[in-house]
Amino acid sequence: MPSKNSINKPKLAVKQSRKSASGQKRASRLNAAQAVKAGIVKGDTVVHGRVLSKKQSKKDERNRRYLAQRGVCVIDGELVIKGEDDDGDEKMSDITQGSRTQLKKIERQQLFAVERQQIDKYLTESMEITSTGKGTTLGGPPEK
Amino acid sequence: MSLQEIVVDGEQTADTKNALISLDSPISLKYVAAGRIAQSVLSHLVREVTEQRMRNVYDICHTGDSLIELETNKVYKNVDEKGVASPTTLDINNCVRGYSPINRDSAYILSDGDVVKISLGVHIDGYTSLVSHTLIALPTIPRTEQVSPTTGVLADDICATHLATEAVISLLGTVLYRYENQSGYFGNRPVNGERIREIVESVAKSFHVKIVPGSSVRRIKRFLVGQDTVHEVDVKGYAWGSINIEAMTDDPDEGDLKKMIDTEAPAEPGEAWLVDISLCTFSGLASDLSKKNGLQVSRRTLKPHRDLKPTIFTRDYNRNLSMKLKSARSVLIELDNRKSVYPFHLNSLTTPGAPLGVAALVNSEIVAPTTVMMIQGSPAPIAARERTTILLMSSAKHIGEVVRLSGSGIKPSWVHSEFEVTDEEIIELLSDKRAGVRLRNIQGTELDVVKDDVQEMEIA
Repeated sequence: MPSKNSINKPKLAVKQSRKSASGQKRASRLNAAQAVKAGIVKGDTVVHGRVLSKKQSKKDERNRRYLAQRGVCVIDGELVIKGEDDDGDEKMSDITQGSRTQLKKIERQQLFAVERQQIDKYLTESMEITSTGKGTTLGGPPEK
Repeated sequence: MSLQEIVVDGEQTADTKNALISLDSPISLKYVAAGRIAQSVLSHLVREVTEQRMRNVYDICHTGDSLIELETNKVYKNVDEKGVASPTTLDINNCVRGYSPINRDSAYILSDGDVVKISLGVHIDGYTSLVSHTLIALPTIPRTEQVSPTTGVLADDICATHLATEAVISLLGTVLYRYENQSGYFGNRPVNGERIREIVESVAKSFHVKIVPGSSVRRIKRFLVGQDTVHEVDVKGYAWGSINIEAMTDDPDEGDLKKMIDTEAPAEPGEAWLVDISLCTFSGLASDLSKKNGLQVSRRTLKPHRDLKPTIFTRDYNRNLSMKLKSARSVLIELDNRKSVYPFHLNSLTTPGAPLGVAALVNSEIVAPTTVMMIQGSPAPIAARERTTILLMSSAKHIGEVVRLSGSGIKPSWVHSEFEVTDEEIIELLSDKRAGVRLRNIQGTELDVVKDDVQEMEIA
């Protein structure tokens, strides 16, 4: 059994000072409620009362910086594009100034819009089904 | 569209299941393209048969396969794996599965009043659309002079198959619009395999017909559409036994597919389903239908054809052996390079001596044959089959809709049955409103068939 008087054992004062330092660090980080208030995370995503981890707060900080670069800011937990208009095109043009992945997404959507038009040619809505009466009849007499 | 919506769409495209949220996703587009080709080819073949332009079964099957190859080559040029997902088969009268002759001389010639079941399948990048349709070929009087519908047991069979298919499609569709409120329930009970079984068996009972083993209503995934050689996990739906002669049993609770299919799991939005229902006429007493297994054709009556050899095979990727025979080795190389997990026709192989090679591969169980199955009885029973692929397309904004990839828009043969559906729930599913389900049908296009195209395929 190791001796309680080991010279390698940290002194009480050292332990306490470290403890208080880490406490201050933790306090300096945003807690969940503050994070929601600041609009970094959406309210409904925080269901626990735990303090945000250092890693998560760093991520949030970084994301906020990126959003700001793209001209998007966070108001009340919602992403809002700066200079937004009612016109949908305006929004799109703002986004096109964003990251490469965003650009790719928009390109893909434009491509789909064209293909979608082609599909619509082949789509018809029909609910036709022969209902029952006295017995069941399917199809019908051939057209002359 | 707001930024958030774009991000959500982008994330969900990566997931196969949720990709069916809208028709704009790449996966849905491939499904639709496959459905359109299947529908176009089927419509073309139906016209060939009803207008009596083709009578030789070999010609019809060959045209079907060639057209699928031609049409799939025109779309998605950057996709390697595409083409025939199920070779065109014409099962006539009491034949239920697998007839696609290998040459013209020995092929069956359609005669007046034959019941023809045309089946085919198309896949693009593994997204599959399978379709089957039953029609009465070449009535004894010209179609334009037909004044009354076909009646009798044949009419019962065709009606029952058609109505059971439509009812199941509507039932599956109910999971979409009621999903948010009732979590996939219809009439306070979940829409699952057991529910589907009840609906189909109720229709079969009403029309005094039997269910052919091999019928199934199941969820399909990319490349996985119920091939015999593929062992799947997490299969939803219901299967009435197996058509495979080795796996077939008389006990309705047994069978390969039965063991691995989950009949309790409910259908969910964003899934693709295959509805494959085959019913046959029944000359026994009505009371026989209420016995155990009475609704299902027994093993004694369902037998492989005595003379016809299998022409459709599926590669079993679980088995790998080094073959002694040279032709077997070259066939195996061709299968690995050109074919996929889908069944293939013997004629589609280009290797010299392919039949010999395939026979050797069958012996060592590297490929599994699709046996030509017949129902025997006196008077000979007649089977009808309807098969269709549907997408349960949930939508982020509106109520979802069922997209029927294939099997719609072709007028059924004019038949009149003295029986009718009596179950209240099924009547609601079959009504004009379809229990409130929105249905979209993919329509085929007119194919420009040039005779030379088809012949070119033959040489190649």
